[in-house]
Amino acid sequence: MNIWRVAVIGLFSLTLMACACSKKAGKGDGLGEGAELPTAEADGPLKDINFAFDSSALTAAAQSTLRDNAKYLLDNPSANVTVEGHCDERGTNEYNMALGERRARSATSFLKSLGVAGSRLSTISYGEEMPIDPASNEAAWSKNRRAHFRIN
Amino acid sequence: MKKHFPLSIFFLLFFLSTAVAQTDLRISNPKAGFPIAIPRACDTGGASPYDAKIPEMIRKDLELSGFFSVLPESGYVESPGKCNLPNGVQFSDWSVIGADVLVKANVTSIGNTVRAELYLFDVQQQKAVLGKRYEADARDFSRLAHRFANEIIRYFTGTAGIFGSRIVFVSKVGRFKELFEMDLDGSNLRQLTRERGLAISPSFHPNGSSVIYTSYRLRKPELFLLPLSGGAPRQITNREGLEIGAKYLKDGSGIIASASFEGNSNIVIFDELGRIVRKVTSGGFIDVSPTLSPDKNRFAFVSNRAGGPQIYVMSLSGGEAKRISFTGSNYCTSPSWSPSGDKIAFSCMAGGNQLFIANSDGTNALQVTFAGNNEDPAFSPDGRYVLFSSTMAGGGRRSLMLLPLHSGQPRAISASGSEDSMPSWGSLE
Repeated sequence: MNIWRVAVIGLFSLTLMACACSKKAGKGDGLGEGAELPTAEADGPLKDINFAFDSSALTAAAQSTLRDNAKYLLDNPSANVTVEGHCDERGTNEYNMALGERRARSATSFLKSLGVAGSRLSTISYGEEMPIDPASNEAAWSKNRRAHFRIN
Repeated sequence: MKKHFPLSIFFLLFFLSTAVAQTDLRISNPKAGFPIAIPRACDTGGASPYDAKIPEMIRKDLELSGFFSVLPESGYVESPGKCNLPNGVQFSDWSVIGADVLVKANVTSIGNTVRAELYLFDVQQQKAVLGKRYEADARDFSRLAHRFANEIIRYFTGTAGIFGSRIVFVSKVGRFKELFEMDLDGSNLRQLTRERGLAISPSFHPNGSSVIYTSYRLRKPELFLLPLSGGAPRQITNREGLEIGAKYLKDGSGIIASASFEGNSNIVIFDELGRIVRKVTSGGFIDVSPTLSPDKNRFAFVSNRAGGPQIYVMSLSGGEAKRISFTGSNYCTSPSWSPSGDKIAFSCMAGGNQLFIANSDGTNALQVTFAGNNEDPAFSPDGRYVLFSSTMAGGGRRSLMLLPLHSGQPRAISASGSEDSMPSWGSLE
């Protein structure tokens, strides 16, 4: 029994736009190279402070470190500093971007309260994007939840 | 007609004039994962590389779709040879290996043109139920395969599939993060940015021609618009603090994002040039990651206003923010609102970050992942899938996975081989 009764009923021809959008931009995409991110966090005169999970509150240890950092900055009035806020890898990137910013701002406010001029301090958050320890354990996470002070 | 199908394809559509028989697989075997066989194309006298490539691509799409169980090629008993499609199929060769459905193809390539006749057979009824002829530029052969895969899914479910959709996502290159683009099946991968910095949180412009994202290229996080056709990104914002998680409002006339120019991250509406239109949330909390309802009148977002981060829904015109994440977790982030409007997917810490899907009023939160860390859910344009970043595949590395909501079984999308995250789902071409 011939069951192949397939009949061509409709013929639609759809022409195309030659789809310029799919043309590959290739290597010379005209973007140029962006600004280099800061590299390794070499030990400088200013020490990192660390935070509890999902917190931008300054612990007693963090406040003590910030007093030392403030003293250095008051003794070295030409040093301007970028305060970087960082997070551990848990949670999501966007929330951690905002949390890192709060950490940087907490540290900055404390330094200002100790007499460091606000004009010498700027803040930036890198969220969870720049861990100093890439491991996935509490030891790494607690190091990565930090504010870092980069002398410009 | 041209304007509806921006694709270089001619196709030939068969309608069977015969009535649907009572053994129609679509009715008799719903949801079971139809066993389907997709052999190499028939020998048309002159081998073409597409004889293998097109069936392979359809196989992969249907496997990813979650509607089919694709039978492995190694078990096929029929040896590919001359065919006289749509006739000449030895159905017993396919029923014996358990195939309910069969795809066969005639493929020819002449110069830069690939021509394919593709047929879908109901093995039980021993007849062709769908047949199409496509012609495409060789560079676009994958679109031809995706188009037929989508038609097969339409035949079985009533709604066409979403293969061939473009995905923009973030991938790690060394210590940097750059934007990449690919098709949903992982093919046609290409790097979009070379910032040697951080390019994150991409989201498609509604017209599909560009993506808005957050870039550190000026050493601080600002919004940029990147044209997908090439060319330099255009800066949109330049303010104190960060702008992140941008999404376009209806027709691209405005942007909703999280911005911290007043010190705290709040949800703000900008016009397309980055000028502030309206501050939607206020207060000293973290408000981030807005996702719009399909009618673009409301949005869901993450806020830590009650302690840990949770998901809230609010009207774009302001008013009260209503919490919708009630999973027992004290940490929920990354919401995605479904295109049908009734569901919101999000990620909560519950033994790793796990995905949940709740009604948009917060009721019936259902956990849908159970292993690894799963974040950044993005609903497909047809609402049947969620694409997300996951460490489920192992190695501690995040890669992209596709969760068909009808099967609940996530599938890995092979992508850059690096750390992939933050997928944004473009519309189907």
